[in-house]
Amino acid sequence: MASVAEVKAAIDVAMAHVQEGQEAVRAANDKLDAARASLAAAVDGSAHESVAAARSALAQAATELDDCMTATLGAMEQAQTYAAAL
Amino acid sequence: MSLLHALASRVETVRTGLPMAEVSVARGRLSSATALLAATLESSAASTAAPLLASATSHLDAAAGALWRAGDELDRYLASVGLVSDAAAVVVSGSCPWADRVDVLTGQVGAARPAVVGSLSVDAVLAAAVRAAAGGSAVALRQALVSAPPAVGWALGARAAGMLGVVSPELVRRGAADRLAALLPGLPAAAGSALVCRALRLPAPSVRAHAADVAAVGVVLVSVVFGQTGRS
Repeated sequence: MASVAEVKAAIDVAMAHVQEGQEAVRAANDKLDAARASLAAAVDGSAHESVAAARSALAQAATELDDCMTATLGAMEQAQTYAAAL
Repeated sequence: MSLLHALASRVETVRTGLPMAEVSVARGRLSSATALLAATLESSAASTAAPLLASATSHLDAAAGALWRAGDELDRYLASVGLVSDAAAVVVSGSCPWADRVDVLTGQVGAARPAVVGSLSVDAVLAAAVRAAAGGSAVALRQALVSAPPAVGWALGARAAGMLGVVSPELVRRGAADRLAALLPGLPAAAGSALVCRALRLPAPSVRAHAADVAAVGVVLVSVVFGQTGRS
């Protein structure tokens, strides 16, 4: 049978992994922002459909990263609240 | 350097700067956190924490798929204006966890890889992969699977599982044995056998498997079921 200390320790480890994941998502967001800015500067004035499609895909990637971060924050809050109440 | 080549260089810099690696790292960390939380908090009041993390991972898969699409579109743009990208339509192993694992499973690590087709749906990839598996070609199966955006690839296992409600799972298991060895030579026989039994809800030893293994085995099983039932 697990003790409270063991459950809290397992949650702490999981939260550490989530935080590392969040750091990677932030790094991805930073690189994505830079890529979008660089692309905008490079192809300014282009009406090419592939350029539009690339921009759209990059915008979708940014939205997905934001949604990912929101979901991790919700999960962390729930897990930490639970751990504090043990 | 001409102005056009300068433009190509800038676009190529954008393409190579897309955060594929960061998304892959994030996915790995969130996946391990999800597994740990799910095991720890099962049946607890905080049991929605793990599903929330699983949802976060799904968003990362979708982000990875969108980044691949963006890269493909940039390649297409360069090609259409007469500036073929160095990284153009064919890529090699080491760039995508989904496709890398498919290469291993199908015994084609290092072979030139077709470009990912961002518009492909789960059903379209499954149909193409099942056709390839039914034809007995590991090369065609690999082609169908690595053309899929990673997010689509990861979803294949669940979609295939939904098509395996069969009258005689034992018959399917026997029918899959030879086909599995021919199509997925990189999958250890014991793991393949266990995954087949698990997919068909037959008694199976516990097995830890890559999600791509589950997807590829699912595709092969669907091809066997279709062959036995005359479906297409």
